[in-house]
Amino acid sequence: MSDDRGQAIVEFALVLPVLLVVALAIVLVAELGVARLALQRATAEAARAGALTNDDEQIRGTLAATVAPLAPERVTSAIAPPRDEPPRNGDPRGSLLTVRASYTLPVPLGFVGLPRFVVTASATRRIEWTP
Amino acid sequence: MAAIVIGIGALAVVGLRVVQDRVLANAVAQDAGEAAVEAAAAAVADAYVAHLAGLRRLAFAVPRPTADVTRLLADPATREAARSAAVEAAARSGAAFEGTVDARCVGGSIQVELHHAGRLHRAAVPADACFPR
Repeated sequence: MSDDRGQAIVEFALVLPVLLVVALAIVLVAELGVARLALQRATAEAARAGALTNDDEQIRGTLAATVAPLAPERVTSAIAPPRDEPPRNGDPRGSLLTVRASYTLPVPLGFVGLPRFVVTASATRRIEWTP
Repeated sequence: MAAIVIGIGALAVVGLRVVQDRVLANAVAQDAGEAAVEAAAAAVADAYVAHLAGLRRLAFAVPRPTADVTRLLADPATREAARSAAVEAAARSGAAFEGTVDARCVGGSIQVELHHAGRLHRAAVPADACFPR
C-alpha cells in the first residue's frame, strides 16, 4: 500500500512540470488573444481621431486611452503618412490615414529565454479634417 | 500519463488559437466595414457641401434654385464617389468591399448605409436641406 502511494507521488512529480508548461501555454494564448483584440480596437479609435483632427498627439493620446487592458507604455505606434509630408501637411481631406501599433506581451519566466510575443494591428480611415 | 497531458494541452492551445483567429477576423471585418461607411459618408458630405456651394453662387438667380438632396444622392457621380471611397478604405483595412452604398435623407440628415461581411454599417451626415419644405 505504502509502495503504491510512493509510486503515485513520483509519477505526479514527473507530470507536474508538464502540467505547468501546458497551463502556462494556455494562459499565454489567452493573453495573446486579449492583446490582439484590444490593439485592433485601439488602432481603429486612434485612426478615427486622426481622421477628425489630423493631429499626431491626439492620435497617440487616443491610442493610449483606448488600449486598456494593455499597458500603454508597452505599445509603440506609427502613423502613415507622417504629419510633415504631403498630403497631411497641406489639405489632406479625402486621403487615407493609417495607424499601426505593436505591443510586446510580457511573458512570465521571460528571463529564462522564452520567446517574446509581439502583437501588431493597424487601422485606416479617410481624413475628414480640413485646414 | 505525460503524453496524455501534453495531448490535451496541445488540443486546448490549438483550439484557443483557432477561436481567437475567428474572433479577430470578425473584428477586422467589422473595422473595415466601419472604415468603409465612414469614408463613403465623408464622400457624400463633400458632394453635399459642393452642391450647397454651387447653389450659393446662384443665390441671386431668378428663380432662385433650391437644394435637391434626393437628386444629389441619386446622381451616379455621387454614388460612385461614395462607393470608390468605401472600396479604398476597406482595401486599406485588409478587406474587399464589393457591394453598393445607399444614401438617403432621413429626418435632418443624410443616412449612408452599406453591407459588408454580412453586417449593416451606417453613418449619418447632418443635412438641413433634407428637411421637407
